[in-house]
Amino acid sequence: MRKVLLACMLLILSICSSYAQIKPVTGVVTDDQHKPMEFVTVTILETQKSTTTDMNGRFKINVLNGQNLKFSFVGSIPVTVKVGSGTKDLQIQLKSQYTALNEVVVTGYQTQRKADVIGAVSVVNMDDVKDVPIASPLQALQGRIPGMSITTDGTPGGSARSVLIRGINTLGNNDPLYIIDGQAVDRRLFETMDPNDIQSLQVLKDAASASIYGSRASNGVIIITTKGAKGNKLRVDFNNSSSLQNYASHLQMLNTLQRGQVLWQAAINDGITPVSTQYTFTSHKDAQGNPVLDNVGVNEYLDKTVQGGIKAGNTDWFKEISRPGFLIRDNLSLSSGSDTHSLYLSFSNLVNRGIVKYTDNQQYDFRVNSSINSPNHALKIGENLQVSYSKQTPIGSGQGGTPLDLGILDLPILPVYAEDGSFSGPIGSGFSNRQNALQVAELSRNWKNYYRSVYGNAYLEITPVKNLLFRSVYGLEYTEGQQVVINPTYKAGFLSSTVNSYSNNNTTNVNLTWSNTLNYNLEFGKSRLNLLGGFEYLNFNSSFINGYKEGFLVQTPDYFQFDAGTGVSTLNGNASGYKLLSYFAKTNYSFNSKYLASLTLRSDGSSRFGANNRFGFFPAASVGWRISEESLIKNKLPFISQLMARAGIGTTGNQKIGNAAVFGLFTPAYGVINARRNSGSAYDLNGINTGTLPSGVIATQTANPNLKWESTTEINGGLDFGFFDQKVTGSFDYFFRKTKDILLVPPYLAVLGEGGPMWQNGATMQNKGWEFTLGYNNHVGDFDYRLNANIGSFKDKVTYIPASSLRAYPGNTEKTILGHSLSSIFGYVTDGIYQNQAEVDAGPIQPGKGVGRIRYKDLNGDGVIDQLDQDFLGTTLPDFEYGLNTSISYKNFTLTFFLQGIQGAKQVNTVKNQATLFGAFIGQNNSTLILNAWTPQHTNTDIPAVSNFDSNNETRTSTYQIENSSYLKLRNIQLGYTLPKSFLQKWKMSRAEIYVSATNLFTVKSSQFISPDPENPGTFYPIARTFTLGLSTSF
Amino acid sequence: MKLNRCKSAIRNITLTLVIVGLGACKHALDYAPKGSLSADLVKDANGAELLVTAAYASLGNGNEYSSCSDWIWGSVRADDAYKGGASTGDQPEIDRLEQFAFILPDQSFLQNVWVWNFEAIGRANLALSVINNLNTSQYPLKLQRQAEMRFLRAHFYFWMVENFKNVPWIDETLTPEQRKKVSNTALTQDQLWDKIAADFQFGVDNLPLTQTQIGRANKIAAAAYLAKTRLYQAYMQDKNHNVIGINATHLNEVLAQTAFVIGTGKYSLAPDFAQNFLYEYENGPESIFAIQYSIADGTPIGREDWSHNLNNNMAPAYGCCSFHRPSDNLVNAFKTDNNGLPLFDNFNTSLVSSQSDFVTNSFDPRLDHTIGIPGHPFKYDNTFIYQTSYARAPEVYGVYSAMKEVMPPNSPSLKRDGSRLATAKNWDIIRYDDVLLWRAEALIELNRQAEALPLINQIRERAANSTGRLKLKDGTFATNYNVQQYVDGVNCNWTQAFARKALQWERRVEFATESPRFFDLVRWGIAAETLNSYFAAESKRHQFLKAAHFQKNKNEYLPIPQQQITLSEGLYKQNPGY
Repeated sequence: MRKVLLACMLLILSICSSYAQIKPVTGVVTDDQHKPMEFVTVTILETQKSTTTDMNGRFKINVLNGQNLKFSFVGSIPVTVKVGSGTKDLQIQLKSQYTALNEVVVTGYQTQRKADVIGAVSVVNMDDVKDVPIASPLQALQGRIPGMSITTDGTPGGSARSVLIRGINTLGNNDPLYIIDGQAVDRRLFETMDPNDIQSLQVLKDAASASIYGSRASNGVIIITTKGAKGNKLRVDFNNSSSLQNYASHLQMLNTLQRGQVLWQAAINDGITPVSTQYTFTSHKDAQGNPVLDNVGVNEYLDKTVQGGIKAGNTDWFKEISRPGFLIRDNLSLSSGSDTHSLYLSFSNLVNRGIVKYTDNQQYDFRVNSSINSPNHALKIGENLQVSYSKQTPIGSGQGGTPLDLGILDLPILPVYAEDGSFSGPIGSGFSNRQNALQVAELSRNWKNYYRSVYGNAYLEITPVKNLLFRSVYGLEYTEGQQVVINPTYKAGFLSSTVNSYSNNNTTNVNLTWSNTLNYNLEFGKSRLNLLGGFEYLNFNSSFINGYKEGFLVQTPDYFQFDAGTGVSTLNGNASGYKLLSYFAKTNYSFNSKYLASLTLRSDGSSRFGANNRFGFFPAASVGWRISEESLIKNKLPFISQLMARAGIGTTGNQKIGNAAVFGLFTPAYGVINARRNSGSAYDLNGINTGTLPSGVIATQTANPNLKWESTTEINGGLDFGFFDQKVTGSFDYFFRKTKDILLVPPYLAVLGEGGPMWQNGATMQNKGWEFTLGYNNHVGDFDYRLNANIGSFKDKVTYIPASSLRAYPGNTEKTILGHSLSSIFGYVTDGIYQNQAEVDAGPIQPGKGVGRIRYKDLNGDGVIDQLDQDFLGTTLPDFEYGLNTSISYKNFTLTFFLQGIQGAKQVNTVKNQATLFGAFIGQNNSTLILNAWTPQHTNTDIPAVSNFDSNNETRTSTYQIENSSYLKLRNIQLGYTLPKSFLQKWKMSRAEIYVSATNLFTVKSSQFISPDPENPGTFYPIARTFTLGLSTSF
Repeated sequence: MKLNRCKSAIRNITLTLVIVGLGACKHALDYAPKGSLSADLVKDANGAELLVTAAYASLGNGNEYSSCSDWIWGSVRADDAYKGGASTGDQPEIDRLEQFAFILPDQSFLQNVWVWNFEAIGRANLALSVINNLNTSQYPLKLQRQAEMRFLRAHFYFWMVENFKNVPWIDETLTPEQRKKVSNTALTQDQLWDKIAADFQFGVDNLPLTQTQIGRANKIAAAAYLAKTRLYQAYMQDKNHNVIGINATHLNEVLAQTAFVIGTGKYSLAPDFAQNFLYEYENGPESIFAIQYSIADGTPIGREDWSHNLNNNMAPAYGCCSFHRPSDNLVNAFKTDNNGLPLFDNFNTSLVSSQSDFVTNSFDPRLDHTIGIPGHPFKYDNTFIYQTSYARAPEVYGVYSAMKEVMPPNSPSLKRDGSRLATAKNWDIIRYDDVLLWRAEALIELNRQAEALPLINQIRERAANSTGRLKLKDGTFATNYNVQQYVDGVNCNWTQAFARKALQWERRVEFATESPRFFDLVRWGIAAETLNSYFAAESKRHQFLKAAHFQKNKNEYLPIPQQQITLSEGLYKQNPGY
């Protein structure tokens, strides 16, 4: 490519010494990939006369010899050529600047140049993302896109906890729509992809751009396009990265002696004699008569009778369940293309050993993208196919929760092992029935989650006449999730399980999509028109089957199969599905490349809605004005290299409800259980105690044949800008959304019975916000540097909820969620701690109040603390989120770092209850924060006195647990080195880079936040700190 | 030429696709839900039977605090037992209920039992609404099934009224919209008792004497439940739960219905009290109506009694969780004097603290049917001697264990889920001994105490004869038993006042830890004085009860769940004091 350009320049130079004479000069302008470029401005510098290139990149201009022609185009490096006597047919190639403007953006059933997009669309630079050592490409997007908010945890192969594009728009599911190669897919399918296979990723944020996806687009759309062959030559890429992972930090729990102190103090505070079967206490009274603890003795044995005896220990449970983790990722791809064919083959695997013992994940992906073109390009047939498989050992769970939950709950005095070497368990007095954390990890080591998927499409593209493209795509998504749970028998302390079991839960989804589109490009005068029309039919079917069997004589993992079990077995399963039939049309119009407009119409019919309201209509319109093309700007403000104003309005829909939401349902619920409570319909009428029981049916849902779409209307205004030849670029977007007819199941009075649930269209919400991105790139000598910052803010507000449903949301009889964000926290306001009896007596009526107890504010001043004294105390969504990506390169070195943060969010950190409140969690451990609890001698604290009782109900949601969860994290820092050409040639490589990186090196958080990680306050899987060594090569 | 033909073929294909697409037939979007029935399909006789069965299933749909058993609501809330478990903080909601002082209207247990009972009532109403529209030629069992459904509805309402007092009365004739408009105070408690009585009366009128399927309610069960309803109703309460009089008409109804039950001769006292608490003897001669539990029935954890799953003690054979712990007060209540009669006034003055106390004092043998005591055979097995170490948190809750609901560790009725154990042993709703004592109570309050004497003595005689399963290996007993019948003028003076005292005592020891205790105390109007004096004495032995206090005119009933009041938009009114 370079050679061609060079030759071209030489040619031009060789002929520029000629003399002046008016003559027509013609030529063709092409881009990096030798494709003709349209609308390139060709200006005679001396006269400022100009013309533009046509659809074939050709131009014609009358010019004098010796004058200079400047070829310029938004996003490209301008080229100036001096016209000489020999100048006739110019071949100009414009190289693109570092900018996203020229990128081709997939905007739904068609592609557009980024510069022509007039909706709020964000494009992710996959180069920034692909080396980040995170299993899922979705998680790697965290902080990269303004207005997109992702919360996650560190589970190997785990799923993001939530994904929001422009905040909360509905009361139900806010997950966006995921489109891979033109077809809507399950989020999990995207999460198991290898980022190296992704060619481009864009996010359609506003309704005007998303409405082409109609009924499913109101939460935004993420469009992923996978790679095809690049260029004509055979190319092999190999990437490897190896990472080490460890805990960033964890909550500091009490040790055995500290807990003894707290136990003693609790009894003293309650005015009862401290007695314990685990500890002995010696104390005396000081001069004022206050008891003083002299010594805490630990009894040698917790129990002598079981498991050879269980001795008192001093266990750090977090340490016991943790280990160093690693993550290794490999990707090998091959691509080859020609004028008539294209092939891309890729294989990747990922192995992640989790930082909690026994958890891991293995993932394999295989991809073939190929296409065949007829020589005249009238016919193209192709396919994209992805086969992936993942096997995960999830974090297990036992009595008391996961090993991470138990890391907090288990008492330090419990040793890991009993004297006979087996796992110890709670025994004797003073324990709650919480299992040994490490034992839970060990017992559940054979739990497996499998995810298998085959996803692909076959397409046919026909160009029957010039500029008309017919495209038919048939897509199939087959996914299978399988959960295997093996629970062996155990005995530890007073806990035991005498029956082992095996369960296998299989969910299969088959999603067939057939879409047909016609795309027509038309040009007349300075106008360009693009027309798109099409229809799509989607048929989604899902089924699950869940088997369970008990009684396995041998407990090796391989033995646990249904045939080998001899005990009780149960079988459950069901199926459901939905269908969607859609018609859509879109037109894009541009005049003189300056004025742009777009109109979208989509009509969707869904089987999920009642016959009365099956179809929904989703229109959208948007306009754009490329101000920088106005001659005023071009001439007077040349530093403005690009300026475009955009505005759009559109409606999108939401149909994320149950497949059978419109029906009145009666279900045979033979043996349904929920937390050991049977809620089934079978009963032993015959009184014979066993065997198949007579069973009935129960009502589960009330019909609503009038159920219809929920729809979101959005206005978006935006400005894209670039200054100083695109050295500074950026954009700003403002949006306002209104969602109405929100689908919900209102809570209902108990007297309606089990059939009470009924889907209804009810609530209305508003959401508004803005997003801003700013980029700067420049070079000083050999230093190239690039900064990209983004910031986004959104605020939702519930504006209407039917009175019948209002009670399902935070609030009380006087204050309701109306006017507040759906993510609002509602609770009591604390007012310090009651310091003495006089204060207690003077305080309002508060059941359980007392000296050393939390005082709550009597907000309504009625002299009683009750549910009317609650208020809205902030939102769990931040005021704004931001990201800053910086890349500096010098010669062969590149340093990048990425900072991400959120500001102004609050959280109900319930871990603080467990950490600091003794009475509500007897028999479970607390954090060392509790050592700072109130006593008559130590009053300068906000932690209430330890007590064996939680009479004051201090676990109620109040400002005691509400904490500022703002943070700033150094997500990733990476140093890369590109190997020199000399070395590459020796190894026949075209490119090779090695890099080292670290993720989550540091976090800045509010000092008020007691958990180590505000992103992950509870006992979700911790987000690891990771150190990586990587290699990326091309042959 | 060739290319043109190709092009026109492509054009045709395109056109066809577009036409097919645009004209896709309406049925393309049809969808029928899988694995469930629409409302039309349950409207026939077959559907009615399915709905009836589901309504019966509600009887056993319970967990540890549901109304399937009343160990929390009737026993822990009374002077019979403590909550138990690891500490007061283990199941804190039960602790609040036990101590009364900190009960909150938004406790989830209250909300859940309210919801579950109305779900059960809803199932009965749903079945009734379908049955009502069928004629007897379509559905020959129409009247009988209507009666069964009204029986079940009344059963669930009975629990609601005895616990919440003011509840909305919903029957099958109300549409969902009408149901939302029924206040919990639309009917007084007396009117609610009438509604319940009418449902049971319908059962008495329309149910067969015997059902081929033993789990279904029969005429005798309906008569017995009607007697119980009228007995509760007889003690008239004012708005603040003070008992202001006893209604003789209702008492006479109790006599009529109990006379019918006894007169059928179909039920009798089991020869050994123990049979009522053993899986092998369920549906025995004494069981008039019971929740039929089952095991190995194809459901994930069995349709077993999960309502007592916390109540097994910490013996290695059980493992967990040692809830529902008999109080010192209850142990003392079994003490007898030299005449074999209860120590009415001095029973609680001394503490039974060591094994020798069980020999130096004398006791009613029902003690060892009710309470696990260190050194005594547990659950009729003299190879399974109860140990102090089987008690969890003895420093808080003492050393005793509940026993009646606990099955022997080797019982085929047991099913384990983690540390929890459930049993397929039926739970009796109405037992013959209860019927005898209701009758005795009505007679005494009608000043016909002489007629009550033989009824009470029948119970005591059976108790005296129920020692066969209590022997130690060497054939002796761990307890010195002495229980005698009342003989007027010989060992007592059988006045109305004495008879009332004897009846109340008899009910306590006969049904100790089985649940009626709290409701008996409220019915008799003596809950506040009984429980506050219990707390005063017991908190000296068990400090955790220090703050416990029963507030008269409030704690007789539970608060209406806050969420229901809120959902009703204020239509529901909170009970006094909350």
